[in-house]
Amino acid sequence: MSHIQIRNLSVHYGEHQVLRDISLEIPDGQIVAIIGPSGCGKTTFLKSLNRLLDLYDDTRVEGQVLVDGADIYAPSADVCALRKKMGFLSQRPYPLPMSIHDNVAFGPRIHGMKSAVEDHLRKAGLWDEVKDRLHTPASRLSIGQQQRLALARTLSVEPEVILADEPTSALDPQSVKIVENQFRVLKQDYSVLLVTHILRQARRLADYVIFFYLGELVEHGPAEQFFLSPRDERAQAYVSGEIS
Amino acid sequence: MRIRRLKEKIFRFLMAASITFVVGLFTAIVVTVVAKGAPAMSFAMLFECPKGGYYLGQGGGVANAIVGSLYLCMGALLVAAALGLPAALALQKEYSSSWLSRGSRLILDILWGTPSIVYGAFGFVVMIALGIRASLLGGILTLSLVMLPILVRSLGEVFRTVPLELKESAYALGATRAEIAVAVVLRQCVPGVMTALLLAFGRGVGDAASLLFTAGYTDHMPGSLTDPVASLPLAIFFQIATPIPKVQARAYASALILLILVLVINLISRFLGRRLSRHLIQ
Amino acid sequence: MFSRNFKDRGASLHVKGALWLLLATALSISVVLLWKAWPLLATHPLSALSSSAWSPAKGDFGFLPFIAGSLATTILAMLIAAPVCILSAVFLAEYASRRLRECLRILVDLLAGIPSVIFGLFGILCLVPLVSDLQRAMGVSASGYSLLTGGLVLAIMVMPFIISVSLDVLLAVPMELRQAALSLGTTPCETIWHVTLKSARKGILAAMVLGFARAFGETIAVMMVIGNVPKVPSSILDPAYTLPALIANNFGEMMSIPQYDSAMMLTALILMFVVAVFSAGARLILYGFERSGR
Repeated sequence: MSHIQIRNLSVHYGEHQVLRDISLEIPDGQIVAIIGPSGCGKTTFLKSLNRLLDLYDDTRVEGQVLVDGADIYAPSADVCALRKKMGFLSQRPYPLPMSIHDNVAFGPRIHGMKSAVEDHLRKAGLWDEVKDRLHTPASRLSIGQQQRLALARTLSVEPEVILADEPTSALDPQSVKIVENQFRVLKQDYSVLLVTHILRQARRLADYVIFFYLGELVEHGPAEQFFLSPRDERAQAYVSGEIS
Repeated sequence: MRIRRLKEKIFRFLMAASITFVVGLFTAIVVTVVAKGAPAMSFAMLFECPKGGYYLGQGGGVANAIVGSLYLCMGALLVAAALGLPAALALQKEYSSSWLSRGSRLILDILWGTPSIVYGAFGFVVMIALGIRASLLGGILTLSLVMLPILVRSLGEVFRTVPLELKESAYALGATRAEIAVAVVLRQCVPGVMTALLLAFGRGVGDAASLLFTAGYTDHMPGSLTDPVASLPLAIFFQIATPIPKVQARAYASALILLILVLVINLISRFLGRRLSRHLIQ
Repeated sequence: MFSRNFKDRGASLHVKGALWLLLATALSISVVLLWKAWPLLATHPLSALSSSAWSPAKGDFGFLPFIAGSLATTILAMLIAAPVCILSAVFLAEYASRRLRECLRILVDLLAGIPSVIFGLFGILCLVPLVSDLQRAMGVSASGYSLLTGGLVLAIMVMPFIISVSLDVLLAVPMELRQAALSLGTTPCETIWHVTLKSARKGILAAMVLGFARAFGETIAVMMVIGNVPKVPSSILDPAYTLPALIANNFGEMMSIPQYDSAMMLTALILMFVVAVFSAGARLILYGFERSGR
């Protein structure tokens, strides 16, 4: 598990400042929920941790993000190695244009690792449903299955951290349940950072909570304490449902 | 890991080489035409018709071809638009069933890809059958056949960009298909339509193959519809074929005129499209 | 309300009529060409028409030299153009900033609009001497007007089209798909090869097929640099003759030699047929068969 420290992180899209001076330490081995109203920079924060922000034109990142003591934004940083360490699960699953088996074998093959397709599919809770059709195109799966496939794919490169951007918002209730259960199992071996706009999901899953409001880090702390008695009034308003 | 980085570097190099090649090509063509054409350019080139002995090196210019091309293209554009605009409207969902529109698009694709020499041959046959000789009229009709598929295709695409919700709000007010076509679709698509027309015009100006047998050639300014007419591409073609260097140089000057004309039309259509889109609903 | 309905009905007739007229024109072109070509087809067996003997005055109409010439130049052009186009399109879609992409896209569009005859001039001025030097180095007759020159000119002409379509196809690949691959720690090059290009392969293939069809029908520029000798070329450095050039060069003699006009119309018909097959093929690649799901 990697240790993540963020120091004075600010992100600008063109003229618009999306994240303001964020500083915190992410606890290891827990499910950390990142919550807050929409448009508050939660996804931007997540994408700044694996340098996915590099893909967008016109973004400026200031400050430091230290993973295991090294700043990932240093010019000499190895982006590919970073991204291998930080698995990323996006909101809508995008299966790679290959068979189910190849989707999970692709990552290891690129990095020259041994692939363990069955292992990872089991960990994602998908093995039983696809074991008979591993070589059919991944695009034929249902969306819930595709998201679990995405999870298997993410796990296949053996990350240490899993970044999940609202991973269940496009899924039906049954699939949501399955994915949430997998997260509970995964936290034993990985740190999970989960962005969600569903307060109830945060309550269900989170060990630690980070609350963003309009690009600012307003409050963070252990989940029980946060949900029981938030200190900041904006956090209180959010938890009580006044703002959402 | 090092091999991966090496592959990345090689790939980047090849890409840079390719795009540089393409840009270089464009530059080379423009520079060549300008370098060879500018020295032979003169007031006479632009404004005079070929005088006696022009093709042997005597005086004159290609005004007949410039004006001839403009007449041909304007005429052809009018004919093509008269048929093409309603046809493109008919491709919308309101007017054709899905198999009609799919079949039409396939046939339009074929027409679009058909080389203009085929239209020239077809035009020639029809003209002989109708007793029309190589003339402005023949050229206009044949060129309009060349322009039609281009025009209908771009118009069809432009009309397809009108969002369904926009049409729905008009339908909700009780408007008929025709009223929506005019008040909503055409109005929303004015810049697209203008661009499509200009682009078709630009394509027509450069086309020689369709005019070879159908428009004839003459050293005079365009007269009536039944007289043969000169065109710029053919003027270039004939001038470059002579062995006399002075005339060949004039071919390059004519090419320069054609190139400027085409580039200007292209840029205007782009600029106009952007300008007129300001007030539109996105 | 009545007059509005009437106008609507009238407008409907107008637009649908225009569409049908357009389709009828397409049909009539093929019918007329076939009808005019028929006398030749009726009197000459297919074996005679596909021979390499071309002397219309003697009644020999062997189309092989022209078919060979057209095929050879087009295939050569595609071989040269395809890698350059894909690499350029990939650069524009994946690596260039938005501003650079727009600028270069405009350049590519301008290149696409340059008339054929100007490409021919460029060919005569710059490519013919180049090939002539090459021929001299190989010890062959060095006029510079050859299959190779034709192929080069054709490659240049077809590039803007293929780049433009390929670029559109690549830009249509969702950003999130690239992100999904990059999140696994792939290099940009690996992502492009295994994911982006793979996802876009149907569109790019269709672009190539359409490019082939367009190159096949290109008349003026090729005619100016290829030599126009009606013999099957034995090497790239030999002069050749293409089907469109055949029509363009000989319309004057069409009426004087018997059946020559039929031969020209047959050539035009062949051209139209080739385009039709390739256009339908491209559609098939893109949209699959009518009944299948996606």
